[in-house]
Amino acid sequence: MSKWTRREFIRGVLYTGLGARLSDFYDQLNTHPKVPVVVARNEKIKNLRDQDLKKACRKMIEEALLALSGAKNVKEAWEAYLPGKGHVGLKVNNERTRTERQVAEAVAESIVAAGFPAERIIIFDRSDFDLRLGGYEINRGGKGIQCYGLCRDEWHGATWEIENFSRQTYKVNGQSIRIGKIVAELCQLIINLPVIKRVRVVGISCALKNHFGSIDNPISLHGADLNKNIALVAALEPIRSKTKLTICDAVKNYGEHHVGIDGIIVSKDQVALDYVAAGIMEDYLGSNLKPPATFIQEAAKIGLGTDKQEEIELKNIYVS
Amino acid sequence: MCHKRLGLIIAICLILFMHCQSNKNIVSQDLFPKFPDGGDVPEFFPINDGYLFSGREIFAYIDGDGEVVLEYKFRAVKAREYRFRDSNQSINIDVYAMDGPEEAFGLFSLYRSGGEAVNLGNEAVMDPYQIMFWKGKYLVKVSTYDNSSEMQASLEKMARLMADNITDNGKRPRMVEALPNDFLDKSSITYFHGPLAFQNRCSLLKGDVLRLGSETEAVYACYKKDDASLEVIAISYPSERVAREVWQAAVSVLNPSILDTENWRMQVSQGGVLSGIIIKRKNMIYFFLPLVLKEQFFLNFIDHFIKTFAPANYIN
Repeated sequence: MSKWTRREFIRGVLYTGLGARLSDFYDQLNTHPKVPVVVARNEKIKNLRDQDLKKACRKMIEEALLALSGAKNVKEAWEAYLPGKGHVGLKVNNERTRTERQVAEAVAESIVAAGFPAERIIIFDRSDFDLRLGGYEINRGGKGIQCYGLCRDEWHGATWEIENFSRQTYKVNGQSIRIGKIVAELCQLIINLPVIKRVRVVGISCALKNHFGSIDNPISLHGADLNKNIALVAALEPIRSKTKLTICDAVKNYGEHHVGIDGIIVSKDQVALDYVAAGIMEDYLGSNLKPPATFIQEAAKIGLGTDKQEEIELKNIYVS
Repeated sequence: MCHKRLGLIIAICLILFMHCQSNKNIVSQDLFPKFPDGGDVPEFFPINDGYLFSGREIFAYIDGDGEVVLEYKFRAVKAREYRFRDSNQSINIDVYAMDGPEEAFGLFSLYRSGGEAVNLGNEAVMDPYQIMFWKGKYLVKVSTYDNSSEMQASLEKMARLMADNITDNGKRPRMVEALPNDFLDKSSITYFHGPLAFQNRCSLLKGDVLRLGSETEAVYACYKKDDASLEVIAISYPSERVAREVWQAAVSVLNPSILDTENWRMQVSQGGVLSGIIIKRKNMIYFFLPLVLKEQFFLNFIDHFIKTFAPANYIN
């Protein structure tokens, strides 16, 4: 049962107690299984920098993980995701914006604290070029947490660094693409670390669209079918099965190219997370999204997750 | 002898190739105004010479929005990063070189969203992390990730230096200048050509039905009086024939509640509520979309707009 628009739902639940009570009331009327999306916030975080920012981010991330999993402690919460062998990839977004380095490092360090080797964690994006623009330091093969791009060079859509992509080609709506080896071969777990940004082509970019930075020829998927293609790329094996967790950086509010709510948003369901992100963007803009981000519905249609308000359990956490 | 000839051919090819490459770079670099140097703002120093992305290479820089930029007549974007001497904070300058001032204004008008108007270039908006302005054939974005007051001052200083380095002012498109001024919310004006930009302003109809593209020109504006407000989109087609064909396609897709074929006017309702009036005149198609409906103001305004809006590309 859906009583509110997406924008009203987000505003109601995130910002007013009334929203939470009404949400509880509708919950009693519904028998749908709920998909949790956790929003952890700390109103002081906007003024923090460097190590203080990283520390505060880690606290929010760990509290959110506990709320999501119901685990007794953070180590146990991570153990539900971490692979016995292979690597863990953290897919950041540094295209015309950036996933805060402190957010990515806080996730990585929390995983290390849970007993996972730092050298088997890779913070990655389309290219070294993108990562440097985002303020990351490249570490390819050195000690500690790894950080490098699918390609070393500037990314030009169709890359010539073909050796960094899977041999296997994947069909997406008639186009052949390859997936970066970091995702296709090296990592057993991908943690998606997107931001919420407005894009004029499809309304917003967040979790689902972030996977365009893991393939070799995103340009070929633009055009009239872009919404559908965003859903299809996220549904590709191995992207679909390896992306078990999304931690959205909504820490700082840089404007519509990176909307923040003093917090992070965590979910196992990327479609539900994008639904919430779209509502946050609408609340920021003060109007419905134009164009309306139909890739969220496309993704729900092919079974990637839910875009139904009544199936989403939005949990608020305040961390001090 | 044969080897010598082969060597000569390879050498000539190599020289020709290098010549082409260097010309390509020179042409591209010449597109841009001078960027601030190390000495211009003492607290900042450039950490690179700037990266250049021309034509479809835009996807390398902004995959998400590349298509929207390409709906305008876009040449190249140059991005340069500057680092603060006393910390790792940085400022980025992106300069989009367009075919002409109309296109620079168009892209600015699409990207403009909130922010405080500041007196810089031809028009500028500023928020805590970015200043965006257009001047001549350039759209310029100066941005940072730090909102401290020192950084704000540096951001503005950098933006002013960049604006001073652009000598031509350029003018807004004539279609924009032709908009009636009464009740006009000037910050809402958007000039565009393509379907994606249209979809950023109107959800009534898909852009492809309207056959929008490089040959069409369109302007969006919002008008407000007291508590009534409405949006207007005027699209200019290259010929009356095309406008007529688009009108007919729109009629079949929109299924209007009232259709006045004699006066090329249709009224579209959704759930019994008026959602728009669409009118064709010569090579123009107009959308009037009520946001807050005060019927008499709305109907009077439509007549007023059609009578007073006279863009240069209106085919009489």
